[in-house]
Amino acid sequence: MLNNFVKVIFRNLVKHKTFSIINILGLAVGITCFAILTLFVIDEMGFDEFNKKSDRIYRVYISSDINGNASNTSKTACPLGETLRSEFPEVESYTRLGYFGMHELRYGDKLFREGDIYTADSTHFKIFTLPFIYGDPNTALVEPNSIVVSERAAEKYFGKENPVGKQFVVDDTTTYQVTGVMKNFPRKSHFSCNFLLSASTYPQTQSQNWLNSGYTTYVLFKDQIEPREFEKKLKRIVMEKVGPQAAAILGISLSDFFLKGNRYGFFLQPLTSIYLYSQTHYGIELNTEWGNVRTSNVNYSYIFIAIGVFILLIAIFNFINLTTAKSEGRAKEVGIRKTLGSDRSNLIIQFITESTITCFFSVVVSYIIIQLVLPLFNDFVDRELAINLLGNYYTLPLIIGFTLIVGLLAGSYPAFYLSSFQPSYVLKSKSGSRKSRLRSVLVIIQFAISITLIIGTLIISEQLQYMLNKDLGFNKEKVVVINNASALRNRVESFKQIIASNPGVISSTNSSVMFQSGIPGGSFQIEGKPDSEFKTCQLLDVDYDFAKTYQLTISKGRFFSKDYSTDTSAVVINESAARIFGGTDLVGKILNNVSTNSRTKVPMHIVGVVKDFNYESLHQVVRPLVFRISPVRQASFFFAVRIRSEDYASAIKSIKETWTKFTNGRELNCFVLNEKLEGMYIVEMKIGQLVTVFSSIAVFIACLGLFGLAAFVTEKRTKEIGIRKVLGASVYEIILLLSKEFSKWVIIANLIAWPVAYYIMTSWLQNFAYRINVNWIIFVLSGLIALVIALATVSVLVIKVALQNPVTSLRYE
Amino acid sequence: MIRTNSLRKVYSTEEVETTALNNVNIEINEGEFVSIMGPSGCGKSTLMNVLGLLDNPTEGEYYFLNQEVSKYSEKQRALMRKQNIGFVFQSFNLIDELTIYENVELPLLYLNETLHERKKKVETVLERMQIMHRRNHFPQQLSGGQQQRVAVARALVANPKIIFADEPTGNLDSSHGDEVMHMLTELNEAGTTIVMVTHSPTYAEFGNRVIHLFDGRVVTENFNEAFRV
Repeated sequence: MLNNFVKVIFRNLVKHKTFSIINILGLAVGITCFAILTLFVIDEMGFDEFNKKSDRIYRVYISSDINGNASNTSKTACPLGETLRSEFPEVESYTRLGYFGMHELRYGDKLFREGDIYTADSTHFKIFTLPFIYGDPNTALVEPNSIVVSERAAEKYFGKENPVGKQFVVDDTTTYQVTGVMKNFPRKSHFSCNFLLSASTYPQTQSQNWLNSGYTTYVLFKDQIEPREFEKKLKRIVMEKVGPQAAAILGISLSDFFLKGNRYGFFLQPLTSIYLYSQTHYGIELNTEWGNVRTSNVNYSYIFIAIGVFILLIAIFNFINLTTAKSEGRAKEVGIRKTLGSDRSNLIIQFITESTITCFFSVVVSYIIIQLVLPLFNDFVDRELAINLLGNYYTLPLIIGFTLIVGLLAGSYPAFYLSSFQPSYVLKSKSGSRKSRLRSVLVIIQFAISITLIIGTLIISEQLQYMLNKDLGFNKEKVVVINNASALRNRVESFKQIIASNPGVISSTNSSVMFQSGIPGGSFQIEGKPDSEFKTCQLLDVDYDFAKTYQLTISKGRFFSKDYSTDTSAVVINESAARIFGGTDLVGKILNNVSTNSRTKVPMHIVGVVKDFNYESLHQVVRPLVFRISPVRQASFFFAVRIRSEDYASAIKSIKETWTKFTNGRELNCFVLNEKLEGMYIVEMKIGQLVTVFSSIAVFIACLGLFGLAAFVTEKRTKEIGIRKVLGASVYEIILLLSKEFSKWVIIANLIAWPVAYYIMTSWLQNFAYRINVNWIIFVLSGLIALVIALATVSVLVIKVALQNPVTSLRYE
Repeated sequence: MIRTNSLRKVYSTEEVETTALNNVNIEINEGEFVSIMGPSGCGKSTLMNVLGLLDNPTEGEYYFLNQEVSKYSEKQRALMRKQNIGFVFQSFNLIDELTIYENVELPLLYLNETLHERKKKVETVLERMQIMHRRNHFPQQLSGGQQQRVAVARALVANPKIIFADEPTGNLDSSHGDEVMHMLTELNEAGTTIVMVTHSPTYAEFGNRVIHLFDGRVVTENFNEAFRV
C-alpha cells in the first residue's frame, strides 16, 4: 500500500512540476531560515559550560542605589574574595581578575605592546577549566612576576619551543617569568585573554579597601547552592566590612545612610548566565563589563527565534494553502479510493505520507541551501555555525523528527480536508471543494507576520539613521584617533607640539577613553552639602585642548587653560552634572572628589560647565561627567587629532612621519572617530540587515502562498466571471472585483500587524536613551508595500481570468 | 440480496430541502441484472449511491446481504464495499497517476491481498478484458472504450457479489457502448448480480428487469419480455 502511495506521490510531483517546485522551495526556504536562526541561537547558549565546575561558579556583583544613582556593577573590591572564603565554609575557593594596564613585553628581538595582560589569583586554574600545555597550573600563578601565556601568545614570542622558565623583559625595567602555557580560551568563554599574570605581582591586590571596585570576583562553592539564600548572608559582610570604611567618608553610619533610602549589596550571578543574561536579568551596567569581557543580549536570541518560527509558520501555511488549493485535482482520486473501499484514516495516512515526503525533499533542498549560505551568514554574524550531520548522536534524529513534525503540521489540514470528500459527490460533479475560511485566515496571518517584519525593518533603519545623524554635542567629523598612543609614553606633549606645527592639524588632545565601556566613575560632593550626599559622576582625564579639539560648547565659565596655574586642581563639569549638584551658578564653587583610596576629600574648584555631549553610545543618556586635568593612565589613552578637511591626506602623512620618529618606527594604529561611533551600533546595524533580509524572505514566501490561493480562487470563480462577462461586465470591472478580495485579506492583516508591531518596536526602542518617535506613516507605508506586492502577485492570474473568453469558461464548467 | 423498506433520502442546505428518494421499496435477488431508468434528477444516482453504500439513506431500512446497513458508519460501509461491491462509472474514474495494472490492482490492495495473489488476479482479469497488452500504460493513453474496459476489470478483480454500473455507456460511442453491454451481460450470465443506471432504453433491455424512477419514487417495474419468455 505504501508503495502505491509513494508512486502516486512521485507521479503527482512530476506531473505538476511548477506547483511542486513552488511548494518544495517555499518550504525549503522557510526551513533554511528557521534552521540558520536556530543554529545562531543555540550557539548563543552554553557559554562557559566548558568549565567543569561551571554549575558551582558565581560572579559577585554589586547592586546599589546611592543618592539617586542606581546601578549594578560587575566589578568588586579587592578583599571581597578572601573574606568570602574565610568567613563562609560553603565557599571552596575564589579568584579575581584585575587589570593594571598595558605593558611592553620583549623576548629576544620580539617586542610587542600587550593590552590584554590580566592579573589572576593563584587559584584561577582550580576554578576555571583551562588546560595547560606546559607548566603546572597549581603553582603557575603563585610567585610574583609569574605569567601564564596562551598557546597563541606562546607561539608569537617563542615559536614551537617550550617557553616555561623563559623571561619577558617588561617595559625595559622588570621581568616576568613564563610559568605555563595554557590552551587558548575556548570560543564560548565570556572572558578571554592571552596573558594571565600572578596577582601577587602587584601589592595593590592585597589592599583592604572595600570602597574601590576594580576586580571581577569569581567564587567557587563546595556544593550547589541557592544563590538567593547565600546573598542574605552577604548583608553581614556589607555592614561589617564596607560599613566602617563607608562611615568614614559619609560622616554617618552605613545603616543611617541606608535609612535615607540608599542601598548597597553583594549579589551572585551564575557563571553561565554572564554572557547572555547580564544585562537582561541582572541589570549589569555595560560600562562595567570593560576589557576582554564578551557579552550578548538574550533579547536578540528571542527576536531571532521568533523570526525563525514565524518564517517557518509562513512556509507551512503556504504549503497548506498550495496543497489544498491543488486538491481540486485530487478530489476524483479520493472519490475512487473511497469507492474501492479505502476508509478515511487510510486516506489521511496517504496525504500525510505525501506531505512528509514533500517535506523531506524540502529538508534536503534546505540542507543544500544552508551549506551554501552558512559561510556568508557566519561571516556576517562572526560565528562558526555548522550543521554536524553525523558527528553526534542528536543532529540526524532531530532533523528526522523535525521533518516528521513539519510534514504532519503541513499535511494534516490538507489530509483531513481532502479525505472528507464524499465519493458520491466528487465523482459526479467535477469539484470537491467547499468554501474554506481557514485558507483565508492562513493568508491573513502570513501577511500579518510579513507586515510586522516590514514595519520592524523600517523602524530599525530609521532609528539607525537617527543615531548616525544625531547631533552629539560635539563635532565628530574629521577627527582621527590614535589607538596606540600609549607608545608615546611621557612624550605625548612634545608629540602634540610637533604635529601642531602642521597647518592641516587644527588641534589634538589626549584623554582617557570615551565611546566604549570602562569609563571610570568617581564620587563627588558639592560644597555646602553633607558628606553623605555625594553623587556619582563619570570621570574623564583630559588635557587643555580637549574642548577645542572636540569643539564642545561651553555654557558657563571656561575650559581649562594653561594661563591659570591653579587649573591643575580645577574641574569642568557637564550640564548633567550641574543639574544633579543642583546649581545654576556653580562656577567658582568647590567640588570635593571623595577618594575611596585615602578616604579623604580632595577639593577641586569648578571653572566651567560644558554643554552635554554624548561621550557614550546613544543607548545611554548623557551621564554626569567631571573633567580634570590629569595625566591619562596608559591603558586608556585616547589621542584625538582634529584635521582641516582640505589638508586631510597631507596632515595624516605628516602625523605618521612624526609618529615614526617618536616611536622608533612602530606602526601607527589609528581610526576615524566617525567610524568608531558607527561601530557602537554594529549590533543594531546587523540586526537591521538581518531583519531586512528575513522580512523580504517572509514576504516572498507569503506571496507564494497568496499566488497559490489566488489560483484556487480564480479557478473557482471562472464560471461566475464568465456569466458576469456575458451580462456585460468589463475586463476592468472583473479585475477590480477579484482584486477586492485579495486586498481585503491584506487590509485585515494590517489591522492585526499594526498593534503587534507597535508593541514590539516600542519595547525595542526602549533600549535606546535617544530614540525616534514611532511614526504612524511607517505603519501605513508598510501596509501599502504589502498591498502593492500582493496585488502585483495576483495580477497575473486575475488578468488572465478576466481576459478569458466567457464561452470557454462556461463550457468548462 | 438487496431489500429496501421505505427508503428516503433528503438533501438539505440552509434554506432548501430536496427529497431525492421517497418511500422506495425494491428487492433485487442474486443473479439479477436490473436496469434503473428515469429522467434527469429523478434520483437514479442517489439510489445507486445508497444501494452501493456510498451514502446513507435519511430514513428507512436497507438490507444488504441480509444485514441492515442503513445506519452503518463510513468505516463499516467502506469495509462492506470493498468485500462485496464493484463499481463502473460513466466517466471511468481511473486514477490518472496510476498505470492500468495499478488501477486494477487497487481494490486488492485495500483487501490486503498478497503480491502473488494480486498479480494472479489482475493478470487474469486483464486477459479476460483483452487489455493485458496495455497494462503499463496510463489511463490518458487509452481510448474511452479501453478505459471503460479497465474500469470494468477493476470492478471485477476482487470478485464482488454485485456490480453497480452508473451509466457505463454514457461517455462511449455506440460500438464501444455495445461492447461494454455485452461484457456486462457475460458477467451476469457467469453469476454476478448487476445493477445499472442508464438513459438508453436499448441498453436497459439488456437487463432482466427495468425499474423506472420519477421524482424519487419507483413508478413501474417492467420485467423484460425476453426474460419472461
